[in-house]
Amino acid sequence: MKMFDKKLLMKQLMVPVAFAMMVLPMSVVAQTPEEKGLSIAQESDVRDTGWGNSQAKMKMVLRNKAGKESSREVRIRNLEVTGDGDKSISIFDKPADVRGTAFLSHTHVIKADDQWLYLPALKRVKRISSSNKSGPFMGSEFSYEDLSSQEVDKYTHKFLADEQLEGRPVFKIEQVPTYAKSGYKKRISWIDAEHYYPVKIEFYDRKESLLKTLEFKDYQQYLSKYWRANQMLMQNHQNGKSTDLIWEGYEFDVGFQDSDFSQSALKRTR
Amino acid sequence: MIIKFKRYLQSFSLSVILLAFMLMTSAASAEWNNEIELEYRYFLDSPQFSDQGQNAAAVIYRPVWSAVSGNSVYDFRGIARYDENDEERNLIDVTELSWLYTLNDWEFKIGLSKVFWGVAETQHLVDIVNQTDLVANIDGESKLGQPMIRVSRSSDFGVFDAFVLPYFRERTFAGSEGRLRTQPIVNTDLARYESSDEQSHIDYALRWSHTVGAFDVGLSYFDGTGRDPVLTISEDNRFLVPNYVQIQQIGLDVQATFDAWLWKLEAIDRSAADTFASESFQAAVGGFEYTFFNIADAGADIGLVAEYSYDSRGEQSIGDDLLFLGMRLALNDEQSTDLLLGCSADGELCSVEGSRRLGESVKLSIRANTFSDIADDSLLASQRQDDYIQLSLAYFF
Repeated sequence: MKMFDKKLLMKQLMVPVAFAMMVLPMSVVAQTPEEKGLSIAQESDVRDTGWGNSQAKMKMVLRNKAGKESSREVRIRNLEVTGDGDKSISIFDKPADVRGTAFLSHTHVIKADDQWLYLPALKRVKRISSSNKSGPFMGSEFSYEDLSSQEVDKYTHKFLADEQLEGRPVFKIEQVPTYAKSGYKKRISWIDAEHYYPVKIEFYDRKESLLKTLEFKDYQQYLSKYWRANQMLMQNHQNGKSTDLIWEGYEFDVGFQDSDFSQSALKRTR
Repeated sequence: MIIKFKRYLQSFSLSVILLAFMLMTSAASAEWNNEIELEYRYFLDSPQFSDQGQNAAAVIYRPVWSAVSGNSVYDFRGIARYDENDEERNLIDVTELSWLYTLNDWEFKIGLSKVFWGVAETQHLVDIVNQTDLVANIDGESKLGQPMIRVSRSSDFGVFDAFVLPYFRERTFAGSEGRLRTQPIVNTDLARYESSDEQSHIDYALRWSHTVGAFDVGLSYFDGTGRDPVLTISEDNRFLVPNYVQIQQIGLDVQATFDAWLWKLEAIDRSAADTFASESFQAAVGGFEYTFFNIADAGADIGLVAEYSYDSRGEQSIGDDLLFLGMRLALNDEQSTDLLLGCSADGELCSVEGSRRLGESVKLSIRANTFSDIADDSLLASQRQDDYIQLSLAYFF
């Protein structure tokens, strides 16, 4: 942990401040549903700031309507970037025909993400278009936008209700994507009222019909602060298919630097 | 073929030491992966030359091994190919047997390896380090291993690579029993070199590459034995002779990525003495790829590809004044089904490439190439009856 990171320190100070702002002034000044929705999203963001770098193994189980399964395995390395979007490298281990293929992503808050693909048999690095947001990731029910880093400004937020989900208090929020080419008209998110992590998200297609439901299960806390779900279960209601994302071996403070997320690093990834 | 391969390996006796080194590294992070491919080609027209057959089957084995230990990466990639008809397609090669060491912003690599430079799809003008395994596929994308020492430095101003290439690999050409060949055939045993060092001539290459926003730029320089030989007729008129000449080549490659648009340009300037009727020339290929993503929310992408190529040698080159139009379809389904269709604008050359995964560890690929209305004096006249469909089934284990 960087002890004297000013920005991080600020954010840590802001947690209790934001908390106080949410609890105290509400009785005095009425918050609009939009203001409350935004403040919940900001609080989620603040609580998930400062994790630095991490790696994990992602196993995907794709299930078709008849229940037939196929699997994917991807190792993912992440680097938090302050002042811009995060960086990541994904290394594909399964299926066997794409083994060794690796994907480098430099996300940006305002401009389009930069993405490169490494094809090991050809030894070729290809810069690819990042405008594919709504298409399926590796034939699964997760789209690229579902898996990209969740930034506050990517949506407008509106608080709907305080609810209970599996015996825990949650905030129900409506989120409308602000970025171009989203496959969704809106999403409804249920955010844990204590820890501010997502518990459930419903995705509505462009015709505003319910398309998919994502459930987050088995949350675990890392570095005594950051919560990660070990299971993310996506059900597509329109085609009957589902995809389970199972995360294994989450590690933080792995020592990744900016140079581990370059095109040179992409080529030497195994 | 075996003898040539031995010479290639001996040329870099270090690779033997390296192999021992690799075997010593901890097996914990090391991993073997294998691929066996069965390939079947059916030619639609009867052969032009008496030795050729109507179809051809081949089996290809590709082992891959890699290990990571501290700052070091060890790699091995091999290929063994057996063709039932054309012994010139038989191949044993090590495309990768290398040690890569990273120290801060520096990278050092020694061994047999492969590099790819460039951005275009229809031609690879800038890509000059590795020799083409032309009998693998006529698209020229299969390469042979190259002994090399590479030093790289990453900086805020881009990546600088310097290569020393101490041994030269000859291009593969189809034999008399093979389709997709020249007439007369290229006799690789007659290969001639401008340099008296022949295959032992030491070549050098430099490259600078950088990304600035939407632009990926590469600038390269090569000095040594040109990978593409000048073909001349033998004294007895029975064969074509590959002549390898000394060249200096400057290459530029640029890709601009704007949303769903990819704009691509490769250009080269090659200097050569006029030995063996070789000449200096300039060539370029440029174009775009535009992709419609997730069409009708059904997951599939359709990409449109157009590339135009120019070669100052004019009709002595296949790549002059050639407009290629193509379409790429990716279903993005569970089986990763994809298809690439393309034709030259004059309709002379068309190609289809597609693939689909079957189950978890088998991949089915299809490939077809057609040659239409090829003139008698065309460089492709000997392949005018070689339209073919190829099916291959690869098993990964």
